[in-house]
Amino acid sequence: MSAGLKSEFAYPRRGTSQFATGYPIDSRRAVPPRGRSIAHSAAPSRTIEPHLPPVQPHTASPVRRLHSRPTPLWLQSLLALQRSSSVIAFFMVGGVLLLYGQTVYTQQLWNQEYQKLEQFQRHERQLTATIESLKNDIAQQAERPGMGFVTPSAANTIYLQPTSAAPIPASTPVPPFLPTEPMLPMGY
Amino acid sequence: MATSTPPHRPRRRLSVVGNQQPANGVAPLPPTTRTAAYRLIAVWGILVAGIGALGINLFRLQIVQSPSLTAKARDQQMTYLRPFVPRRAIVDRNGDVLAIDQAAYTLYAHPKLFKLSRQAVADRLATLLKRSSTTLLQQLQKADSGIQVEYSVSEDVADRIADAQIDGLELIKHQQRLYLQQDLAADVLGYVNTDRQGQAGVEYSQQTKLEREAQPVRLKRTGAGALIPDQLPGGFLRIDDLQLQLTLDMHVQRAARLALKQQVQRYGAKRGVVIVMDVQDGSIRALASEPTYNPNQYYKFNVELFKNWALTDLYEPGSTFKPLNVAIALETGAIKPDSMFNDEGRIFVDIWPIEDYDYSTVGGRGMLTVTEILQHSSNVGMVRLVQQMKPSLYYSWLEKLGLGQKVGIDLPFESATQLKTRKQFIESPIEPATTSFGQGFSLTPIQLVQLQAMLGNGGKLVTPHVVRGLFDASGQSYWQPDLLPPRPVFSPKTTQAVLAMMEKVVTNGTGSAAQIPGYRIAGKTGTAQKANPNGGYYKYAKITSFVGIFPVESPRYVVLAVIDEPQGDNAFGSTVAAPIVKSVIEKIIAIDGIPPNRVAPSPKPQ
Repeated sequence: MSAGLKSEFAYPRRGTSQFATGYPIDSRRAVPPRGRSIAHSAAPSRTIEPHLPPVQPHTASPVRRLHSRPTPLWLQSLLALQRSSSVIAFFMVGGVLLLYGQTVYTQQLWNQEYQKLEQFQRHERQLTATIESLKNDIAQQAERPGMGFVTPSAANTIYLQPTSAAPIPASTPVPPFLPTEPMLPMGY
Repeated sequence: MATSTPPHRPRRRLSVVGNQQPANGVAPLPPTTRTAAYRLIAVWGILVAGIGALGINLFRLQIVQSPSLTAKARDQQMTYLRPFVPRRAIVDRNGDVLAIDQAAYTLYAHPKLFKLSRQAVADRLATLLKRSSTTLLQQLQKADSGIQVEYSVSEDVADRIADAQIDGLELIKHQQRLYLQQDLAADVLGYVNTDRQGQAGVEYSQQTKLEREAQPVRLKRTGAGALIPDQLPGGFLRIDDLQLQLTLDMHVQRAARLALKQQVQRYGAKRGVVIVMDVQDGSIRALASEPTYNPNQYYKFNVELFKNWALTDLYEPGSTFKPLNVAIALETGAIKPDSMFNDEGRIFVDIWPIEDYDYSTVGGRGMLTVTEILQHSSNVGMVRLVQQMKPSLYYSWLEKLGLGQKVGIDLPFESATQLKTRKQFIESPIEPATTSFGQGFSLTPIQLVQLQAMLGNGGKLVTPHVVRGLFDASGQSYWQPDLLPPRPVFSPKTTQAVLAMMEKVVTNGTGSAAQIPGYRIAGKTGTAQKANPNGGYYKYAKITSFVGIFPVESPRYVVLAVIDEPQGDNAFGSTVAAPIVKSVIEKIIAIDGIPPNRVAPSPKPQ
């Protein structure tokens, strides 16, 4: 395992030479996989360490975009589609949740209102029953003698003769308004 | 440089184990690796077995048990919504409610499900039902399940019982018909049995008009029991507000019943009936029978009371029929209003003696005018009067009046009147003779009212009826019964002449007990021996009646009172029935505000 460790130290150095050869910089490469180091340790004679130039600091080489090719249009449109559909999906999910909530709430409300309606109908029936029962009770009481009720009859009814609609004299001259008293202010 | 690279990572990774072995120099797999492999296989096996088990369970649930589980789920999720659809209310002409539907509950107890002792349940129920806990406990000890504790628990009490949350009690909702005026109009209203079927009166005859149709709706419900109303059909909650309106007037009905009850009690009579009918259209304003029953507790009464004998039972009308015979004779021209007839007091027709009711005290009255015949209710005078007509013509007129037929009232179980056959009537001289004073044939009280109304309305035969129609809450008519148009029988001239004679009966004759100062009333008494079903007449059983028409100057109402079998020597139409008619007319005068006729009645232009 000691050989393996050694080769791992060698790896960055070899890596620096790769920067020059145009290999893509990859941060993952900086941490070498374990298997690889074992493979190197198996053949230490191949190491070309002595011929390498001195290690350059990382900052020295500028980071360039390697795939400078522009993203193709179809990909762009697909990406746009994905982005917009995500937004739509988000709002739709929100809408669905809202609708669902609304439905559940409406149903709950309907149940409440239906119960209220039944209650009102019941009260209506009970009121009708009570009123009519009271009427009946009072009428029955009135039938009993000595309760102080007086039955309406022709004898205790006052009949008023309807006044015959007198014809309004058509040509009665309206007397002119003549104040008999001097008009005085009523008082302030 | 290129020889050392590029590394094919996947391949290299795979070679990890392989490369390691030579490096370690150990050929066989280490035991840990082998266990790991086994472990992998075991995990794989468990997972696969689990998936398999789940698959089997899925098969069992979805295919094998599917029908029963679906049914079970439906039972739990689906419910029937049965809205309370009451039978239509019955109201009188003023809108006073006579019958409505109420929801009521039947309380069942299942003591085997009780979590409290029977004594404790009985105690708690006693306070809720306001009954003694001892009787309740006795009830609860009868069985282990299915005890009907009470049949009609009101909604409020049912709510309180439900709130008490006593295990082992069950409340089943049902509808109950409530007759708010108790027994006041039972003879017209009838009653509804536990199967919601009308059994008598309007409840029976108008069953289809009173019933509302409502199908229960199947609805889903949530786990909490709340309904999911998304499958409700449109208009589900819409219940029409129609009411069946009657022509009855509870004020007059009450007055009629009170007066009738008092007289029936006073004379120890078997039964009695009072009918008040509008002469112009045949609408019945009051129809009271005595004895009667309370439709709220119909099961406590004798079945015989459920028929309305004013239209089911026949009786011989006696003298109340005399004015109609006079009208027939006038209409046929057989007599004139000023004709005179000899009243010998007692005559023989064939072998049968016919005498006046007061022959033993007064004897023969000699020559009488038609008016006087009615005033004294002379039988002999009527026989002489009718003898002016041919029996066949007389019989045709009786048929024309509708005798032998039903009147067509909108109440059930009406009987047709009985009239002898034409052959019998024409061949036997005693038949027209007895018919002249209202015996030898029989009719129902309602038919007599219909016939007497003709004298008030100018000779038209109207159809008596109690149903005004179906009206909504705002008074808009929805349905009205198709009544036969009034059928003219007599000319107004005839009826006015007879009415004038009947007025004399009240002012100066047997009907004086019905006089009301200031009002013009026409009337006729009737006291008839009761016919024995086995032939002949009962000696002491009689049926007394009085018919009044008022106000004479413009007739509006006909009032008939019939008292069956009043007891006592002083029981006549004039003493028993006339006071009833008088008090009913007084009540109508008060209710309708009919002013008295202060001026002396002037003779009406003929």
